[in-house]
Amino acid sequence: MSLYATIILTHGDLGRSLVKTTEDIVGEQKNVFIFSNKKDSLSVLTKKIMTCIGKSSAEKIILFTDLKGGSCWHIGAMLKTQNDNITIISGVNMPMLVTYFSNIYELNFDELIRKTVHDGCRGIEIAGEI
Amino acid sequence: MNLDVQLFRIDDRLIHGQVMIGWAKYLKSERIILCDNEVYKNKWEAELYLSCVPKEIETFVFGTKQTTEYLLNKLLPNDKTIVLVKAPNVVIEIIDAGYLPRNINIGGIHYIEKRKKYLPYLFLNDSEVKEINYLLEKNISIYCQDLPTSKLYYIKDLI
Repeated sequence: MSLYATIILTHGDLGRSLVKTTEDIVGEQKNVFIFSNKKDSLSVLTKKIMTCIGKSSAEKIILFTDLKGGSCWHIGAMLKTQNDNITIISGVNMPMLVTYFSNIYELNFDELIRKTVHDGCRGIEIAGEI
Repeated sequence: MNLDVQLFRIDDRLIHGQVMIGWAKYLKSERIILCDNEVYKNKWEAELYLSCVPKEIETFVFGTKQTTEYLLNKLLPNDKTIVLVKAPNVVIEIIDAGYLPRNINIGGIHYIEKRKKYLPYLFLNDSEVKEINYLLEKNISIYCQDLPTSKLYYIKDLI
């Protein structure tokens, strides 16, 4: 049984590209499951993710979504009401995933989540002057 | 004759990015009515949807009954309201209750089993096609367009 399962749930092909590109930096990752809202109804997608969570038998599920308030985030928020082991992080970006995957076995869970979000925010800044 | 809303939209995702960032901004909407009997009964889910709407936009989560009452009694000329429903059968309920929309936008009915693909965001089963034909018989203009900048398709040319 693995400790963590990572779910990336985004619009379009963003999740797949983000994970693939991040893996080019941090190396291939295990227990990462990618979903898109492109085609499926939310009910179908929710069921797929629930099945995936069930199969993973992980202790903690970390679910990254892109737009807060969007349909992917909505699915996450609904799932969380049924499962306390899910943590949802919105605004997924590359700095965030680099930190997350680089520290997944290094930090305890709370620290991992805090650092992931912190570095995701810290990665956004204006270089030099406008 | 009924007064019209800005956008009467069938979208199984109800309030989400395409509606808020796409349509509400483009149309300078002042109000959103989310019409869904299930969400109306589920306070928690209603609040989840409401949490996604900026403060400047007044939002109501209504059932079919409350939505029809609003549409019949509260609309003003050039009303800047968006109405969101999940499926064509909800529109039929609203019509049966007395409000007939003139135009309907289909923004997204996504894949579940037995639905056939018409557009990347439009999948329909046989009974939904029948419901849409029923709406067309009421002389409602029904067009598919996920975003204001996307190509518009009249549903009569697709089904």
